[in-house]
Amino acid sequence: MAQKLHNNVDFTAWDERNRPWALDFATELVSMPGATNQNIHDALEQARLLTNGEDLTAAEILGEPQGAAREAFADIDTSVGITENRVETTASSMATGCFIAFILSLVIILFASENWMVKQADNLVFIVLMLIISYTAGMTGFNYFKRGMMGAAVVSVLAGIALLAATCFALGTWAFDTDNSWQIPTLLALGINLLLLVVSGWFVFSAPSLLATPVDSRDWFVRYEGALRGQHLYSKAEARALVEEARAHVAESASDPGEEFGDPAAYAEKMAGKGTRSITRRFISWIIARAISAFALLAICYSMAARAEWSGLAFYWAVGVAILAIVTFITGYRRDRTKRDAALAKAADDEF
Amino acid sequence: MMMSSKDFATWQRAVLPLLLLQEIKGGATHGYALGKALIGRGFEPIKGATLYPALAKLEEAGYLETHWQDGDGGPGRKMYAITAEGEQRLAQLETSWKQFVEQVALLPADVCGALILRDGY
Repeated sequence: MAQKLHNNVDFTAWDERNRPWALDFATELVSMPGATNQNIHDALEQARLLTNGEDLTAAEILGEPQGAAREAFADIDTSVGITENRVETTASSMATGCFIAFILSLVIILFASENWMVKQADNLVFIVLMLIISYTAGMTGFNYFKRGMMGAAVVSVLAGIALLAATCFALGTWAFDTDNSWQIPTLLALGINLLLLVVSGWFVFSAPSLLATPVDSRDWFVRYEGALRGQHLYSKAEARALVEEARAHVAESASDPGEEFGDPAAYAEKMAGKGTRSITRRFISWIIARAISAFALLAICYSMAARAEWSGLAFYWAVGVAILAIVTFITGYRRDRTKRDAALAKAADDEF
Repeated sequence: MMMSSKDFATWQRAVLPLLLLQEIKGGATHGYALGKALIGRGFEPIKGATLYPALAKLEEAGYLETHWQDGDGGPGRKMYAITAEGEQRLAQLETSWKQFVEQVALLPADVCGALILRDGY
């Protein structure tokens, strides 16, 4: 799995005439397949030892930086980096597959349900909610998987599968408006899912803090861009520009982004600052998040009212969904707040 | 008595906008080069987590303008240049800093000693 590797390379240790070459060499190394902080550090150190104090320049001894980087990686064990790439690629593919399945399910529901807008509105609301929640659980699982928290990953994915299974049961019985029997397996699956989420929460809180979780360079930049766009509502172009600047700094200093900039979310918060623009962005973000939550709760209330079977299965099902939403919101809020507070405290301590 | 690097870092952080504007006045440059230049002037190394937010604040205030430069096969570089407003601000900061240093220098030695005893630094 990914490891946080410390390799602050001091280019002043190089002969002055070779420093421009060393910077280009470091840039080439960063772009090599299987590159990790450790093997980049090793390659730079080898090159420095070979060239320092020599009459010939680094370019004359080792050739052009690009070729030298290829040769250096032929001699260095890149299996760790390649494994990291493979794990990330697999997780990314699985997440993409899950997302495609989610969209396909929605399309199937919309086209397969006759007069869905009129008759199936409340059922559809719940199905869509279940799909969203299962997708979120699945994505959470993949994120845990990427960070090496296998227990939490397995439980989250199982929770997602349970809800998807419940949705399949619902899709398998088309007489939504006349037959409520499909709700029984759905209710059971929902109960199992709630239980799994609670167990998942235990795994998460008993695991080491996410701050202490090793982060590799690629993951750091992905999280940084995600925080800029997701939490501070930067446009894609604005976020990419900030990521590009951080990437250039890391390439030139051959440093680890986690070591240089700290936690990506905390750094994004510092970059966003406390100016008017940032406050406006956060306000919009807050409004959107609350609007989505309000919509979900209103949908639940509408469905309960429309059925008017307060002691029936629909009532308990709706209550179950509401509890699930509240539990998910509270655990997410607690986790985010703890993580952010710790990150900001650490960032304040590590400013220099 | 030797000055501790923690003291130095604290004061350096306080005057970072002044230092950055001074460096950039010498010619457009990028973040990493700025950090290196300050080290070359004898300052403590500045982490990216401190440097870039400070540059972003100066840019947002209109004291700096930026443009992108191709990175010769690597990532592009964001180049910072000082604006006319930035030059005015730099002059203000330099005047304020000079006054501050003079005031500190005028403090009687016994007052300095008392402050150190009282506050523990």
